Amino acid sequence: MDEELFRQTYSIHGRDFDKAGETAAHIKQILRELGLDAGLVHRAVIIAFEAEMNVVMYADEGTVTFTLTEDALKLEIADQGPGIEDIELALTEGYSTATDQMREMGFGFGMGLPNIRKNSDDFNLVSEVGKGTTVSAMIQLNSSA
Amino acid sequence: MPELTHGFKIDRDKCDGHLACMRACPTQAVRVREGKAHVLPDLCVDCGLCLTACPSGAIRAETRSFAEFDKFKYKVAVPSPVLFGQFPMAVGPGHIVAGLLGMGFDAVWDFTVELALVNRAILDYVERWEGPFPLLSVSCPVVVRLVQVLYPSMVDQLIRVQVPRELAGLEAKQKFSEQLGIPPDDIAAIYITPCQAKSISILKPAEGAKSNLEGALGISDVYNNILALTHTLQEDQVQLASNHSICSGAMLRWTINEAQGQILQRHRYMSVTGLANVIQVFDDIEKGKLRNIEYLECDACWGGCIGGNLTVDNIYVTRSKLHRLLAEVPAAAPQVQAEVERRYPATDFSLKGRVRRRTTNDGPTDLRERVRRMKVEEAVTRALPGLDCGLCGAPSCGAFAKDVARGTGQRSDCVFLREGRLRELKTTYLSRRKKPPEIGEQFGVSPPPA
Amino acid sequence: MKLTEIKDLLRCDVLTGGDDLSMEIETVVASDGMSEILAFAYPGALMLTGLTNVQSVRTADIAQVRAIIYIRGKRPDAKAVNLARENNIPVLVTTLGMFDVCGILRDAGLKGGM
Repeated sequence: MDEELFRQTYSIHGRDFDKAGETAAHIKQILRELGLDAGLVHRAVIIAFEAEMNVVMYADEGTVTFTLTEDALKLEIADQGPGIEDIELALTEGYSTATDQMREMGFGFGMGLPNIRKNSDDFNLVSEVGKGTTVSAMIQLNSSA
Repeated sequence: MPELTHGFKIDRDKCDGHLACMRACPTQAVRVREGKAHVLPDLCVDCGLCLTACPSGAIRAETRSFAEFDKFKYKVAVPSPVLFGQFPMAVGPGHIVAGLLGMGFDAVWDFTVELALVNRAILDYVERWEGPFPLLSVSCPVVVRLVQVLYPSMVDQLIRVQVPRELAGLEAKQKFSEQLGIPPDDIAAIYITPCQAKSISILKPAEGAKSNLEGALGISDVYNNILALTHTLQEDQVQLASNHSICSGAMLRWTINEAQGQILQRHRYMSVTGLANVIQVFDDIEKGKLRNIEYLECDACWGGCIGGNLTVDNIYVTRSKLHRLLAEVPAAAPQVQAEVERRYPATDFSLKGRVRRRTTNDGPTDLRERVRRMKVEEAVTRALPGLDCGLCGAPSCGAFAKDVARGTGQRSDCVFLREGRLRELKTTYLSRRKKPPEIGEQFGVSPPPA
Repeated sequence: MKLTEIKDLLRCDVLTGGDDLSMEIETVVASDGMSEILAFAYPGALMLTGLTNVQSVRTADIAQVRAIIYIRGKRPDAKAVNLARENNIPVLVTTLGMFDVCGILRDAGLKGGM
């Protein structure tokens, strides 16, 4: 069944390093409250946190939309950022276009997108240079049961 | 799910709808509707705090009478060691055992050996256990039920070693069955209990198995009988009974707090008593603190079992008496040690079933329903003042929001959400009240002329 | 090895979590890259990092590490320490550098997180 049970959208502000991570923390709280499997929550939170950090580092504005159906948990992260030129390359572990400043924040070592993909059952990345990037990640609810 | 058995009854006629029991309940299991308290059986852990808190005396512990065991041919009393610290010093263990026999018991079982066996089994278990830590003691049934209801993620930390009273019941029946040549079913092993919770755990063990004991009588139920009989006892009766009574201090020491601390000296051991303290420590464990404690002994009653709700004397007097008794009995009788060595390899310490999390109304319904409840709960919580006034009949705004979400409470029960609610409460509560006498009348003075 | 022993070995200051330093540590993950830790750290590891912002604590929480030691004497700000306290993660600081810290802990018998 694809019917949506729950949907919440969070706005993420670019360069707001202080608040980065709060969305992931909130999503974690909701998933825990709903009593979902701990391993599954762990994966979802890593996806949300990495995606959130990407938006904060590269884009001006973005959103994280978290939806729940009976079988799946979906996270869609959309930003109005610079876009990704070579998606294949961006998904390679270690590849990064981060600035020194970003690295000083502990991110931008070329692990973010691969981490998201690793923790998803289904992963999709659409990007247009100059317009923005949308990452969709899906976790099956019965996958780690 | 069949309704759980609990040992407390609320007398609806006596209940004045005070919110005291509701506020005292550590698991938020009490609701007050239309001016009368009732219990949510899934959440009740049999701690008995509501009984102590009730100002109207409307809550009482259900007890059994000795006559109920008349159908058995042979009745064995299995007294909790706490019993021996309840009487005046002049009434020694011999008198108490003789008193139990005088009451109609055919034998009294001293479970020093079972205590020693269980102590050793616990030590072995702790040494083999690889985690998660800490292991939790299971001797207090309230603690076991508390874990099942409020700390379901910790159920596997409950140590899977049977409690001494259960081993004693089994052994007593076997021994007397052989000795007397009658089937074990004709023998009743009856625990003399310091608290209601243990009596319920015998009726309905948390692990879902059948108890080895046939039932329990409260210490307060046998106290007067024993005390009355002690005056008529002959010295030789007492002397004879003494031989059957406490043969080592180990049994008494068990009842004085931190009993297992001595056995687990070389391990990281901690003891907590009092339900509020136990809850505080469990919260810490759930948060990931205290991972370094290996064994946690916990008792719901402050001061341990000597503080049980069916005891007679206060815990300080009891403890003092037990210390004096300890000085009079040998610390370790050699025959106990020999018996422990003989029985240990052959004893089955395992619990007969698994202690599982108790499914409560919050429990795993389908995801759709969980999401719906979460949304309702959030919406209701936003509308509430967070004062936890209790006038809705739930112990806190949070509990109320949960009740509404699961359909057992209504928004309109909150005085902040519906003005009429206060009027209704006035009708319910004020109409019930007997009109107090005028101040002057009370002292036989007529009011001054206007 | 106990966290207290590690604390003495590296001469650490304790910023929070002081009551539970007797916890057992077997594995360590060391990185300034947070994704690195999220990708590989095993639950229960000790995290060594030079990154002192609030994200280091969030990462520690998500990756379920047991304790954090900040290196080169860098101290996290109050916000980060508070978040660690809320999440029950002990936070320590050593003046030693990453290379030395790793060497010392390895010599003491600790293993990498993967």
